[in-house]
Amino acid sequence: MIKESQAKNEAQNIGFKVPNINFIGNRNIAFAVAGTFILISFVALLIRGLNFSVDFAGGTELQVKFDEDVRSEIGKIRQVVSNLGLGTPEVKLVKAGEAEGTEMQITVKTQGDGTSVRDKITTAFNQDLQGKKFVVLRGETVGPKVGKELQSDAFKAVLFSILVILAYLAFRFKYPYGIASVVALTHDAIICVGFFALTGWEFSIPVLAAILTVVAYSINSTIVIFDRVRENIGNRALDKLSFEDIVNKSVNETLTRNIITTASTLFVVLAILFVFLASGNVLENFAVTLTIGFIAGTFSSLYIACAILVLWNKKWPIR
Amino acid sequence: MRKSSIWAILLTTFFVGASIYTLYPSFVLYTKSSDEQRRITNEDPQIRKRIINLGLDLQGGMRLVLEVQRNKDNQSDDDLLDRAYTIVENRINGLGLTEPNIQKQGRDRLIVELPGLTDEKIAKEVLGSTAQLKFHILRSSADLEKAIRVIDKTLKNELVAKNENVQIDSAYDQSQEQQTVQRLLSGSEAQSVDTTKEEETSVDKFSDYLITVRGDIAVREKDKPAVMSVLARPDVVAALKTNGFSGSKFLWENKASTDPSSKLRYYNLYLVKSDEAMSGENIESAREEMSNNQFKANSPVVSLVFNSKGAREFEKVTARNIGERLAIVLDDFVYSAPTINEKIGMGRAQISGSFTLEEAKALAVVLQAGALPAPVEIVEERVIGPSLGYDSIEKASWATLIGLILVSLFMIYRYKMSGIIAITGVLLNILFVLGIMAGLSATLTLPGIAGIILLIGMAVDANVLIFERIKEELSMGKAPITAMEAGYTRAFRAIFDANITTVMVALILYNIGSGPVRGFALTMTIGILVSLYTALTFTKTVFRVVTASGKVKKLSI
Repeated sequence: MIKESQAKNEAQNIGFKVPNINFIGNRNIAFAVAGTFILISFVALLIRGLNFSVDFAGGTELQVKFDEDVRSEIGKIRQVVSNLGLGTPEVKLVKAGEAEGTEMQITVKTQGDGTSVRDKITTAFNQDLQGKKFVVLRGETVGPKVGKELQSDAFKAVLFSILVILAYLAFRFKYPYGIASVVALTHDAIICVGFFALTGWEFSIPVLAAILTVVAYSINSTIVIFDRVRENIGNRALDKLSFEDIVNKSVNETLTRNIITTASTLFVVLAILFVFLASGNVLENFAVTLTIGFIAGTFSSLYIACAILVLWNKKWPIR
Repeated sequence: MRKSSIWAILLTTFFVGASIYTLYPSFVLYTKSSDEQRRITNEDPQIRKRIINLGLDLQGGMRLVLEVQRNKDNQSDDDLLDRAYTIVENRINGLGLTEPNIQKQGRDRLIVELPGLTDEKIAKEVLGSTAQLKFHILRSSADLEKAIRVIDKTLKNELVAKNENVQIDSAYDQSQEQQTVQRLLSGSEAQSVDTTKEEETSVDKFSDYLITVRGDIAVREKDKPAVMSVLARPDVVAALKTNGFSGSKFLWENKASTDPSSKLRYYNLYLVKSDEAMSGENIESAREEMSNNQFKANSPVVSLVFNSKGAREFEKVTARNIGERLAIVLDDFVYSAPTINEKIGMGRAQISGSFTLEEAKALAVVLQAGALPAPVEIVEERVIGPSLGYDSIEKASWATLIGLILVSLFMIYRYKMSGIIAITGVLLNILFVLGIMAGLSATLTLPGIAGIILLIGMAVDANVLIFERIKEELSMGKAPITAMEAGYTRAFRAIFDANITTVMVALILYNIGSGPVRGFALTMTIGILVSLYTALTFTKTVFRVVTASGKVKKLSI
């Protein structure tokens, strides 16, 4: 019987090997790694805070494109903008092409009447940068009140998403599974936010959308593993295995597919990142967040969610 | 063949047909040149309801969020937003744009999307204006001079008082310094020598800020904030009141004029009687036209026609004030202040001013559509230039192509023929998503395209889970057909749970997001539901059909 199946196996030649990595046994290392990242994120958040985009902070953001290459004059342009007395504007070079001129992003955060800020800057450019032709590619102004509202909406959205997932998993599995996955998700979200605090990159609405996508997507690997745990628990042949061993076995059995699904999604995210990198486009930060989040998400599904499940079982047996 | 396979084939064929059908108008339109596109949409505005529309971030345009300012009186007025909506809609329709879109948000906000419009000034004039048209009689120039003297005197007294007083009023000190600096910077040509000499004794004169342009008092653009702060000072206000100016107020010209010789930009400042001579509510129509006035030939003006009540009122006002000047005031800004030469009985009036034809049109639109029930404030404003949108579409197309190629190569490398089936599923997925979007005449945004690109990665996930499961079953020695069926059945639960949670989060995102992000949430939601269908039905049916004969000994997986 066994020989026959081996023969068939060879005939099919699919090379299916189940890895044997001790995910659960190494949980303390995993917790230490995750803990370090979370700690770094919190410290960065406390010390540096988030560099909110005008979406959240309120203010004006302009992206202008000059007809000619003005890289050498960026200092003068900065001067012109700061002479307007609009607080501390941020002037950043977005893209410099030889033929098509230079794109520049100017951000002025939380200034009362934003739309006039835009007027002032373009008027000043017309007056003080003689002969330099430019067009406004993009101009965004968000009132401070709207920004504040969006901040609280963003927080609510992340919280609500996590709660919905918790409720759904508690309903479909058992509630410890829900809690374990939600801890893993929170880890992913914190690391994404921490990355933005640490680097000082702009935290905008598309970044928030990316974090929610990470939350929604990184649950997939966890669900695949938990589904296997559930299946293996029901498997009579595995009755003699401890809960810990079953979980570890489940992680290993589903490891290849979890890595492949994350990889296939990362391919497309990297395609977006590659094409939009350094374009000042909304998708740039979006793709960066997804990349970080998906990697963190895979890690937390493999190491954190399962380890928490095992710890839970030790105290309050699930099986 | 199984009955279910036949059904699946029929259903998928139907979906393909339906998607091609709903996508056809979009395909026809978007493969044409932009001029052609414009012509087609102008001829047949209904076509917008049958195509995938491009978001403002892709085609360029303007998005504004307006907030109705509530006060004590209209706090609980539930119709306020509805009325504002109607007025804003009327005003926008007056602009003649192709596809404006207005939505109510919450209790106080209107979202206005104006594709193709990138001139923010026009939009602001049309939307931000509360359009309270009023006519005020100007005070005489002798009165104006007297008022200026009163202000000068007040400021001087204040200075003396301050020198005597040891206590330093820091706020005033600061504004004093600011003003001095500003005066130095502005350095009016005629007086610059004098002012520098005077600097030591520094008598702060209000009149130093003022210049005379064609008989009117004006203020240079850079001096305007300083003048505004002087006029707002309580002591100045009080002094004017006690000196016979209690029934008067200063009003600014609506926009800066430029002196052709010196290129100086300045604002006229008018002193008018506070009580309006008449309001503008009895206007029957307003339209922009070119003036045939002998002084300002061929400059844009706005012609007003009053209804009979307004005409009578206007006749009375003009008869009573011959020789005086009449300021035409919209939202507390003076647009023009012509002198009344004679009684005007025809119920017609003209607003002239230094506007362009577009501005005249915008003003006419505002006057025609009527006043907003409450002031509105622009709380959010986004303008995307058309070139940026075009650039984004090009980049997004590249990202889609690269993503598709990478995923295809990977899937074929790992799963051979099965990988090709999965990729075919992904292509169908994209077709269906676009088909559904066209059917809903949904809007495609840049993040929406990102959603479709992500979908390429996510849609193969379900197939990966199934294929890995099939491999596992095969490795346990099951026959291809059994392994295949078991793979689908056993992977189903995890796939379902995973996708449902993603959809739930996408829906939350849809609810909090606005504009482009909503587009992302929408394509994600549609995409995931569609990919559930293709992964569980389409690829499964292909497998079943292939293995139906029972002759397949080995799966290419």
